[in-house]
Amino acid sequence: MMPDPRGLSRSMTRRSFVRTAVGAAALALAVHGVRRAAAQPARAKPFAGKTLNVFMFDHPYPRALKELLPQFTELTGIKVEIDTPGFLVYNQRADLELSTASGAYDVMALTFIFSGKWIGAGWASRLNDFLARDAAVDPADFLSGAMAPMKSGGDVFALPFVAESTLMVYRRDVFERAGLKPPETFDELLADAPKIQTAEVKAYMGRGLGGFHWIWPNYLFAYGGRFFADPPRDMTPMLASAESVKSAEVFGRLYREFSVPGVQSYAEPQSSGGMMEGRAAVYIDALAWVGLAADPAKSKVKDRVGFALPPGGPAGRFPQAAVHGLQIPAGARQKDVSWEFIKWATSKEVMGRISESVVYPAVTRASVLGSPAYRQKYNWGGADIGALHGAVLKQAGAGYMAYRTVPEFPPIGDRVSIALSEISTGQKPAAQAMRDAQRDVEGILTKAGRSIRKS
Amino acid sequence: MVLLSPALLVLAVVTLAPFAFLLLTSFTPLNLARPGTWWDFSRPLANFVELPGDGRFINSLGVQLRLSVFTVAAQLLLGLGAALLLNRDSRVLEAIRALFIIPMVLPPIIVAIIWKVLFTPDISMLNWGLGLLRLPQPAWLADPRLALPALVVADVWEWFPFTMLMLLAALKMMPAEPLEAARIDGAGPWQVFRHIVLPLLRPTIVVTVLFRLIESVKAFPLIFIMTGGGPGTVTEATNYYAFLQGFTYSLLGFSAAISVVVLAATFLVSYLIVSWAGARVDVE
Amino acid sequence: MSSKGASGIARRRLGPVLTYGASMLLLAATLFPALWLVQMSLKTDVEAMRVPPTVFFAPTLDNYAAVFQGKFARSFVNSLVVSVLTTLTSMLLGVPAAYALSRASFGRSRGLALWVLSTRMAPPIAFAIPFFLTYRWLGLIDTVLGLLVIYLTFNLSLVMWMMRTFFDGIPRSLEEAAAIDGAGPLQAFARVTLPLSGPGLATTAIFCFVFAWNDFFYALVLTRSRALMAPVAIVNFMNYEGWEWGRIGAAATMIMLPVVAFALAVRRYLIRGLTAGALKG
Repeated sequence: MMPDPRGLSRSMTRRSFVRTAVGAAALALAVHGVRRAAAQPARAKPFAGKTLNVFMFDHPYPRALKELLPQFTELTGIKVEIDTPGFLVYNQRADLELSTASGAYDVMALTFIFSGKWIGAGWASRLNDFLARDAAVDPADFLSGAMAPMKSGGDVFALPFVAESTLMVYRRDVFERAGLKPPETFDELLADAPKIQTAEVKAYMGRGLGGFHWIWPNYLFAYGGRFFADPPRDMTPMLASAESVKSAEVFGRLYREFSVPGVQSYAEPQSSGGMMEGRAAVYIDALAWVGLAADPAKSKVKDRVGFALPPGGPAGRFPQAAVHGLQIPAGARQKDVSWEFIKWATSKEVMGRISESVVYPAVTRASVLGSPAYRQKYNWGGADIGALHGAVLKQAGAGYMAYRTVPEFPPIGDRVSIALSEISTGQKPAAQAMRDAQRDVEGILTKAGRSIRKS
Repeated sequence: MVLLSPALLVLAVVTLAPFAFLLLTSFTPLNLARPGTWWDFSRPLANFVELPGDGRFINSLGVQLRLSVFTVAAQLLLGLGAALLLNRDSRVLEAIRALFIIPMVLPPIIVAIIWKVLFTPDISMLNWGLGLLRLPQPAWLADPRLALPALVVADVWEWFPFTMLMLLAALKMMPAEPLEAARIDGAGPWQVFRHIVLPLLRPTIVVTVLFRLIESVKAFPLIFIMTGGGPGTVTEATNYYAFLQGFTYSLLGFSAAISVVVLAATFLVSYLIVSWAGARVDVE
Repeated sequence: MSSKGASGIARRRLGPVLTYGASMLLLAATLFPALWLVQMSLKTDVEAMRVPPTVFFAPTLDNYAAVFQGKFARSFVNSLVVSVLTTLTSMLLGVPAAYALSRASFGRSRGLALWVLSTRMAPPIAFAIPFFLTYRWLGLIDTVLGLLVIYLTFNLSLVMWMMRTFFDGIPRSLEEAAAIDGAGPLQAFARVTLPLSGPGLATTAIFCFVFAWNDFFYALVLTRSRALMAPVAIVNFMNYEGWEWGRIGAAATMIMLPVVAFALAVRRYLIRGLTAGALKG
């Protein structure tokens, strides 16, 4: 019933194309909305005339939301202003606004980095009552791995709009030339690395800075290690166990011996940019960045890459997931109005529309993931991205991501990053670095009032 | 006094109040994520007692010391050299002098990004140039020994125009008779420099050093963008550590204590410099 | 007609060629990263990061167009307004104060001056929270006035200290000579001291402007969207999916230009020094 605005083109959309496509989509949606509104008896618009201030970080999703806002206003009569600073800026400002209960924003993005802290501190509103009222939201449609970080106890504090799954992108040509298949375990990766590495194309693309404590847990759990004994109940840190140390050693060796030089200080754009330039054979990171290797406009290796789940280890495969959601700050003044926006912005229609019109594969709803349009569009390097993404999120919902959402995670993640940085640049051997980290993390938890068993 | 009062009044209002807040906060275990910690003065010196035992804090002091000494020294030497070089009446040099302002004028965030790219192998013009000269091309920001020097280079690039312009202005305002007199007496250029110019420049040098020293303690964007305090903690200067404690971990009380210690130390050092080197000079 | 300054003597030895050559070399080394930014602004993102950079390329103005259309244009104007106002206020308040400090008796002024300097020592992170809370209460968040006040915290002390040093360099005998000629203290200041401190005033004004123009942290914490400043706005080009090098280059070039223009405009004041006649005079 809605014209397909993209015609027959299946190629991935980028900037100017996006504009046209989203514009056309918005128009079509608006027309549809108007038709529907006219066909029904006048809908009650209880919040007509209100204005909402929304604060999110710059990302394809809010950019697309901005284009679709006229439809929301048409439906509800609510005017919306979305402020989207860069991710770096967003986190600092959001933390400040929330911690001082400024009430300046009605809806805010709940980012992965701080979700545990913000929920734990009570800065996000409980959404259970809203959900009970509005069955149409269908919370069961959200993938379990996407919902888990938005909850605490039995309470829901945000609705997820983007769930970055960790995937592996690899150079098919490099592996074929060496007669190897892409690695299933990290031990394999380490064994393959010297065989596939050349002067121009290194085996591994790492990421430094914030990437350490985001990528390493894929290794940690695979080798049977863990951050804490049983978060959030038993927070005893387990960073210096034999398994944890082993995973850190493997991690460190890949960085020191088989990586593009300098990755220990790389930020996301440098790693993904390097991959697009064809400098490495394997890159394990969030979908948003590994996906760029297949970008038709920018990637030099777009037709030579394949995608797979990240490798596992003796204890199994534990791909990490980073979820961002929309929350109502505790200090917001018109929570009912805020809820209308959140409901709409994470609805099946809107999410589906956005994933069709821009490059946004990291959806959080099973219905969108399973739709034929999604499956058709997100087929990169011959891999069904939807299947991979869904598999990661389903697994992540099983519970091993619980370490991430404890309120004390920011300083702990930071301290672990330092240890990994030391290991990956050869400053300290893995055992010593992890032992020192273990000691400091015990200190952090004790200072925060947690009771733990000391080593 | 009439001339001084408005300025002093404004300064007092605008700085004493936040400083009082800072001091008071340092006596509490304020954690913004735990409301019960506001104005909890039960153990006022707890943060300060914890500081000497905090290995990361001690490390940050060492980093800060190295960073400040090297950047200020380099900026001074380079600035002085450049000022002497450009101290000549010429229309060309006039325009050149104005162009030197460019590094200072770029927002520090942009400077950080430029140098981050320049220090990243594979995409760096710098490393490419080194490669042409057959010199080693290190991964600067990932090398524990080179990360801090890399920060120093970026910082000096950004700020030596400050010292240069200050010293240049001082050179230009310098009275000509003592120099003429010395030349007439047969003094060579080096002697004139050492015995006449340098002493006359001293107050400006002291002020410039003081300012650059104070600024170096506030170093933030370069560390934030280029290294994040790493590799490990080799570039984690004290201000950056205070930022992490206050804004990432929300431990504002502890962060305030660090800031108080740093402020006290900076004040002390400034006092010593001013007392010893003297910021005033009588021209008569 | 003697060459100015001590290095004039050294100059005759080295020869003008060496001086110009060395100056040019230093300038090139200094400007090279900035020039690299400018050429990046004229290229597409992909081309911008190529090493070595292509020297001959077809420039594109797309980046500038995109930058103008977004929030950046507004933030640029904000930065301009705030920086100019800050410079004016700081100079108006600070220059007379610096003069008073310079001509005051030795002992009293030292402690005062040191306190003035100490106001500059606080890192923005230390003051950010109290200012944020106060401004919220006063309704000054996201306003130009709010930023003006806070920039006074570091610019006033800068003006007072820098100008005091420059005033120190002007001998009191000149003012005394003017007094003998019948001028009051204010007239002596205005007619004798002020003109002679041209280079100092110009340099200080430039620094005031630059420090306000470049501030990041206070602008980050104390503004939202109305009073958004350029350095914070530029971070928006560091996207989730990648850094838009072309636009970063364009925005950075636009940020550079006003101050460089201003510096070029006042460059004569940067160099005009004492002529032998004026001193004797």
